[in-house]
Amino acid sequence: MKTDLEKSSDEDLVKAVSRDPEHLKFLIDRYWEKLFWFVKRISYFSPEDIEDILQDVFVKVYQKINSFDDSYKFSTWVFQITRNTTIDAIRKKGARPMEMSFEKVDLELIAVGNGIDLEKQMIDKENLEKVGKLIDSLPLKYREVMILRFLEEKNYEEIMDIVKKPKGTVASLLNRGREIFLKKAEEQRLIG
Amino acid sequence: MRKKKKICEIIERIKKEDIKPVPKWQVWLVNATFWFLAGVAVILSSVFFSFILVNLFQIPFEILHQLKFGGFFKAFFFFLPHVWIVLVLVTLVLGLLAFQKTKHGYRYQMAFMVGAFLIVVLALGFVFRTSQFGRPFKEVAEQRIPHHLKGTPFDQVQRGLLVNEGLLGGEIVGRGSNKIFLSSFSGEKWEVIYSAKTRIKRATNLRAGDKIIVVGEKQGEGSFRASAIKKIEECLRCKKPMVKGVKTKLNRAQDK
Repeated sequence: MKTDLEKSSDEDLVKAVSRDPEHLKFLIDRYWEKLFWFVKRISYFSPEDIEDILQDVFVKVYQKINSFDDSYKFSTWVFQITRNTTIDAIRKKGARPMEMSFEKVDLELIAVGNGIDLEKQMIDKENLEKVGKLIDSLPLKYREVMILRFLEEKNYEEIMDIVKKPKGTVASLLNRGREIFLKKAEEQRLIG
Repeated sequence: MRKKKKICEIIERIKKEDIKPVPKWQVWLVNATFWFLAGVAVILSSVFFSFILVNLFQIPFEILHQLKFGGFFKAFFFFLPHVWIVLVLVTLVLGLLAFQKTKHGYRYQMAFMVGAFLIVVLALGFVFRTSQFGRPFKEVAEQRIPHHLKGTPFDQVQRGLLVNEGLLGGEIVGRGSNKIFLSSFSGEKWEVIYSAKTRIKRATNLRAGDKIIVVGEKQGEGSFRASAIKKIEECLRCKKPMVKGVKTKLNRAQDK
């Protein structure tokens, strides 16, 4: 049986959390997996490291709960905090571990999002791995907007608020990222 | 199971470390501070711009091309007070940075923000210029600014800095055949040679005691060939209030 709080909206939960930190567990429960995958995709950290990052993220969420602006979606706000915390962690750790973190479905989504017709290009498993390495080779600024757009399915306004960059910059990062991606895909004969 | 354990750890950590949410007033104060800083920076920038406007209205555009600065823009910027230009730019940048730090500041493109800030600074600058808003501040500040940074057209002429560029200013002390004997504002004696080709705009009755600006070319030591002569009230685009300003400066020079 779900309690009323469990069923309530994110924004109502935020109000409840500001009164009692115990209610934070509902928000954590709701966002844990989504944020876990987001961090994994942009950082390549091990699951243990990601859990540590997420712990920091939710402590920050609690600390900053009064600065939550309800003109944002809570999901946008929590992604913004997660993104910043992850970038801080990447900077602290210096070199990132080179471990592929994309699932097959992720790679397909990014490839399709960037204009690669998988059926037409007959991309098989081996080629999908190449797509993965290709995404992996993109600088973080392009990779994060592509992940937010194609995997997290955020719209431009949400991405703008998450990465704290103007909409035009987000659009040009996506375009530029797509250009680099397609150019490299062409070089590796992933597309004709 | 693992997630539940993690959730418990987070709640536990918050309680154990006695972590508290940042109070609402503090959140509000931080945002308000950045708005305040952005506002102050824009107002200061506008005040400094209004000081530049004073000089802008004094620039003798009609003779800029005759001066030997190596280009119109070089001459134009020479006449502008560099110290105020730098301060306008510095405060503008500080204002932009402060605005970017406000809650939604990051949403705007830099080009848009620069454009918007410039429009506000230009508009407020004109208002401040008309209302003489920053005048007391300018008077205090000017006493502390090194002379060479002020860069007003009249200052340059007064200090005899523009003779090599083709601009000489001073007071007529006597006249000869096609000659004017001039005591420059910096106290040097000059012989100004003019001819029928020299434009002496509305100043045909030049006489001793008149203050004039001469546009032309330095011929040698103490000799200057004039292509145009203008009485001080008619040069440097002096509007009425500026004439007063010029006269005040002249009086100061005379007092010295």
